[in-house]
Amino acid sequence: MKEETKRLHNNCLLSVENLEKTFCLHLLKRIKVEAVQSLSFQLRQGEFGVIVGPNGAGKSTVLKCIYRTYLPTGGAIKYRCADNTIVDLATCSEQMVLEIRKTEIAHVTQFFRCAPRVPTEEVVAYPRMAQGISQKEAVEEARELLKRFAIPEKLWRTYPATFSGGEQQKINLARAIIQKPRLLLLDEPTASLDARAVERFLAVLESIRKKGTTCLGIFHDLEMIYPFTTQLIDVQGAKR
Amino acid sequence: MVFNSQLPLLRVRNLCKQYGPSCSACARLTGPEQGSNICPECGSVVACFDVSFELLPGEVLGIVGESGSGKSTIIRCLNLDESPTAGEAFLSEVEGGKVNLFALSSQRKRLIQSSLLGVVYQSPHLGLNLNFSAGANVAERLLIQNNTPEYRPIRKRTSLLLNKVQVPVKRMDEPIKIFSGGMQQRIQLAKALAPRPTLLLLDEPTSGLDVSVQARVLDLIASLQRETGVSMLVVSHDLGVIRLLTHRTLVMKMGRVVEQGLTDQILEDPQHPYTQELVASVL
Repeated sequence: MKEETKRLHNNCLLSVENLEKTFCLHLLKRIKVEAVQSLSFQLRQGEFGVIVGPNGAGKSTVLKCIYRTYLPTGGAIKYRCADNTIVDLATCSEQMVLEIRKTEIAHVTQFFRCAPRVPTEEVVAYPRMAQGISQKEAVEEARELLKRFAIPEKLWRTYPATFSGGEQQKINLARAIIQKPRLLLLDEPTASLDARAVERFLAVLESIRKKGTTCLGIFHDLEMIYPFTTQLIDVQGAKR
Repeated sequence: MVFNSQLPLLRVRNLCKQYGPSCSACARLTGPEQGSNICPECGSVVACFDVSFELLPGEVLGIVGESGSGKSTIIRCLNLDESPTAGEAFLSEVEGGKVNLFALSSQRKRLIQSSLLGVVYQSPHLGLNLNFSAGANVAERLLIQNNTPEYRPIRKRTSLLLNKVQVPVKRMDEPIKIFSGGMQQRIQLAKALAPRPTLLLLDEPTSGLDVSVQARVLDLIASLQRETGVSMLVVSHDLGVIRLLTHRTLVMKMGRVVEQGLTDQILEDPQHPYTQELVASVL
């Protein structure tokens, strides 16, 4: 990944610098909505960052800018890849983003969305297959994860669209974790999970963190996630 | 990282196609800002203008836009059915991507068309010979490629292809016209895939089909893409199709590319007023 090389402190994995995101709504008399203003923070490898702020403060926008689902309007998002090259996710090419999404960064979105009419085990296995793993092996790994998330075996060949909100969220988590990402973005991943499922999720999270995955997330229940947290990022503070 | 070593499979530079006499004012007086793709000076239709993009191996690029925005013109030019007014296209498998496909002799174009490209049109009559049987339509592509054609291997591969696109092999000798619309589209797909193309061009492949048949054809395209890793250019006015199949998307209006980006970014954070209108119009 030699697209661009920028400076980044040695053990820093992600450096968000003066991030700006303003939406221009052309259909509504070009109203401008300033979602994120000059936000800066850094995450070291293995850290657990939690973004805090009230509803509408721009928490999800920050995650979406890092994943490039939203196009940042200003600032830089420097990310250190596994091969030590540094990429600015705010400006790098789309093909570069696709490659990084495949191998480096996973995003658990707030609302689950997947290709329709694809069996659950394949939905979970697909990100692994995209990394070049055989379908048989990927499905095996997917089944292991589905077991860990306590999804009943009889549902593995059915479509996630028929699942409950909580079950869909588990699939959402499983397909991000199967990638073995270096950076995991989590947008309210536990919002629709019951207490037992939250416990299971935290156990899975702990195990992948031990393997070196860095996490950045938004959590409704800060008390629950507090023991894991290494850094609180206040988006509202940046706006003031 | 593998990324660096990947050369684009297809490079398109400044592709323009105009119908009519064309004049020096055509570019200036047409486009989304002017609200028309017809030149007021000379009456030429500027079907597409200054379209440039790259496609990596295994990548799926969508082209979305309203009717008459120039989407299908791009497909026809890239399938070498039509000569563009200006512009260049390079395919990595043709002399290492160093020669402009549009400047080649018609014989070479025909060879490239039959061996490296596959196309599925919106209307089956454009892509299939309706007087031939389903098998003959698919076999025709294999015959063109094969210098010393033998009946048995070709029939065997045709059966395999029809099976792959879920068309009953026992119906392979029936004429195309008695197949349903969905099946005709799937036979087109089998025909397009017959020579194992490196680039598949899909021009509104499911537009005329009812939703359940559309879903089957789209699922088939998605699974074949995953299985074979073929690069695809998908033209559609349906954002659902674009979301399901593509990694990146170009948005066209009045013959111009008004926006391009990652498909999820185009759908969730559209920048151009037209793209915002398009996304907001989804039912």
